[in-house]
Amino acid sequence: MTVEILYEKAYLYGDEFNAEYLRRCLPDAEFVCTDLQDKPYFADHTPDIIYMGATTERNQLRIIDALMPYKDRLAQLIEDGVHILFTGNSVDVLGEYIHVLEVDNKTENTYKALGLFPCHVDLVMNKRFFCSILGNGCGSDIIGFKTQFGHTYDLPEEYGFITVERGTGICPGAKLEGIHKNNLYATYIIGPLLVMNPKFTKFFLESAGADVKIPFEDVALKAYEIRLAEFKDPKRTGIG
Amino acid sequence: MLRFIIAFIVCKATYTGLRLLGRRASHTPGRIALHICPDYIRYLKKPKHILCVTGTNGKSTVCNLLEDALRTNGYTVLDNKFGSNTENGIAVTMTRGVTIFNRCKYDDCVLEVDERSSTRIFRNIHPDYLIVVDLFRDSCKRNAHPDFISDIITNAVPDDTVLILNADDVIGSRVRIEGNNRRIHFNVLPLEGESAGEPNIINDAGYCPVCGGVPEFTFRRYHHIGHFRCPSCGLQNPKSDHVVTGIDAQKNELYAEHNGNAFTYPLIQASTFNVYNEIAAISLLLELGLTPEQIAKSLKNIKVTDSRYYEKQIGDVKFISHVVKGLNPVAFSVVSNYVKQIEGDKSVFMFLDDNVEIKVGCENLTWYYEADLERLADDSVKHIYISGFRAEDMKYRLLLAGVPEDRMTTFHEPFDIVNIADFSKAPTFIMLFELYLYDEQMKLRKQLEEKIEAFGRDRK
Repeated sequence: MTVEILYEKAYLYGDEFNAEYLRRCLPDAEFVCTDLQDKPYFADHTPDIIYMGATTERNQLRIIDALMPYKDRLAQLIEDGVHILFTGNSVDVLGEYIHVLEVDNKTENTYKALGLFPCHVDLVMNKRFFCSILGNGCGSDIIGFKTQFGHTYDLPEEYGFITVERGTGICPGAKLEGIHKNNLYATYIIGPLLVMNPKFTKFFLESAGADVKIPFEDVALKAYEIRLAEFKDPKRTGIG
Repeated sequence: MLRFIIAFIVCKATYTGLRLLGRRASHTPGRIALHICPDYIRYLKKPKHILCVTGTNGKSTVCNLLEDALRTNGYTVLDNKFGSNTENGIAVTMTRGVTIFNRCKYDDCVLEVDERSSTRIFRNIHPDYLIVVDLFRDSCKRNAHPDFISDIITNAVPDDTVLILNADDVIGSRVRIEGNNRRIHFNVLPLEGESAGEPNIINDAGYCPVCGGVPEFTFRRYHHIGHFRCPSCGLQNPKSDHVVTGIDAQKNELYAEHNGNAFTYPLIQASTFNVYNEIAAISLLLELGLTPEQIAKSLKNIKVTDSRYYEKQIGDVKFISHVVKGLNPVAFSVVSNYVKQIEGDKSVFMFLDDNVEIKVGCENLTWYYEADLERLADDSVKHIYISGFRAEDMKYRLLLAGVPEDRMTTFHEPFDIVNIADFSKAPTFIMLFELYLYDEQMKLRKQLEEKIEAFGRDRK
């Protein structure tokens, strides 16, 4: 099994540990790390899993530039059912464009994204959004946290990933969070998502054909169940 | 102008009233004044020099050094030491600095400026000098990442402010890199016997900030602080004007070169963070015209007090209480490293859950996974007690960090530690508590100290 980790040196918000967790869960897999100035491994090969995490807005533009020559190949891999996981604001690169209201609150810029899904992103750099979230995706409850500068808009519902029970979806008012097509899963949830959601992690990796070893699985599940019970408790405030 | 006059009277009156009631009044009078007159700070008369200090870590220490040195040398200094470093706090400080006829009472003003608030603060305050001590990751929900904070400061600082920057910080040293500001740099050379730091999870210069290439660190002190060189575009640390060439912790001396000339200063504290703080302050004091001799004299009696740290020897057990700034992974890494380096065996109690953050919906656990908790897997850490809502999550993080399961105990109610802790496991007991749990920590500290005293009596 081959796992491609895209642009790991740029990760933020604990997503460093999503990549590390994949290594711990898949001790026998081969990991290929692609840097910004490298040709992606997926350009000439078919990895079993591709992962990309959250990054700075400046690196996000570099990543779009780096991936743009291979966007058709990436689209093909999505069609072919390769397992792909994008977390945090790496979701942003998938839409058609990213519109940014910069920190001075005056300058506006629009950047072309990969255009793999019919949606776009609005970032307001002076307005930080954050929330806790509880939802259901791939047959399990998914819990996490979101912290970001903007949202994805106009995504058709057919591509929704997580049905939101509490918290904010892919944009304010949306009841769906993230993007899902075949085996591509993309979500703004940080956390890190994989560490905090052992059931989803197991589902994702097993469906990619992996022999999964969740480290200290009993403790991971206990922590998850405690959080889940708390997030489901209607008396619990601060979610949504 | 009428709005300003009303705001000024209300601010002065509120400040006086709250002080008479024994309150700190460091925030509220400013909030009211700014509500009445949004440009309130602009109209207040200012001291001759406005010296601002911002950055992620070290702001307070640098401000304290500047204030003490200037006062020792005969200047009158206005500061926000006991106030807030956001816009409301600065409004209170500047109001304190003027008479009721709006005449300034001070020569200089030293302001600690919250980096996230710099846009609003510098709209109405024109800093003559700005020190950016360093830029690290802090709370991801508020500060996002250092590149964002660098953009915020870049956007906020006027073109004629002199910038004093940490050359070893490849992100902080690029603040307003395309501006016309005069730039002064300081740095700390590898100290005698200092080796490159242990690997950190966080390195915000994993890719070159200019070209995206993979940089080489010929010396990496911690995180992205060190000697950086990008093989793709040639970017490297800027040349420093003020260089720490060495320290002698025994003699309490710091050796520096200013534009090639060597000088010796008293060392305020041997930790590398404080060596950076000291050279940052010295750089600005030299700019203001103080001589190295005057600065050295004024630094002689300064002691860095760490309000985040408490230590007491109780019989055979040393009790330590130390703040962990919640959501701040770099600070958590520093504390974890510190725990590891404390001589001898120790037990650690983690009292970290912030109920306030949970209630208002801004909780996140990402900082557990960005902090270098691997340091706590050291054999000298004999046991870790973990309390609170997220005790199992912390336990899981520590398992992944390499801490054996039999060295951890989890429980929900923090005050249960008094009955659970086994003080015979190690001669040092360390309580790590979240900054906003200070009051609870004080109560808990008292109970733990009593328990340790009883343990000592029983042992005898």
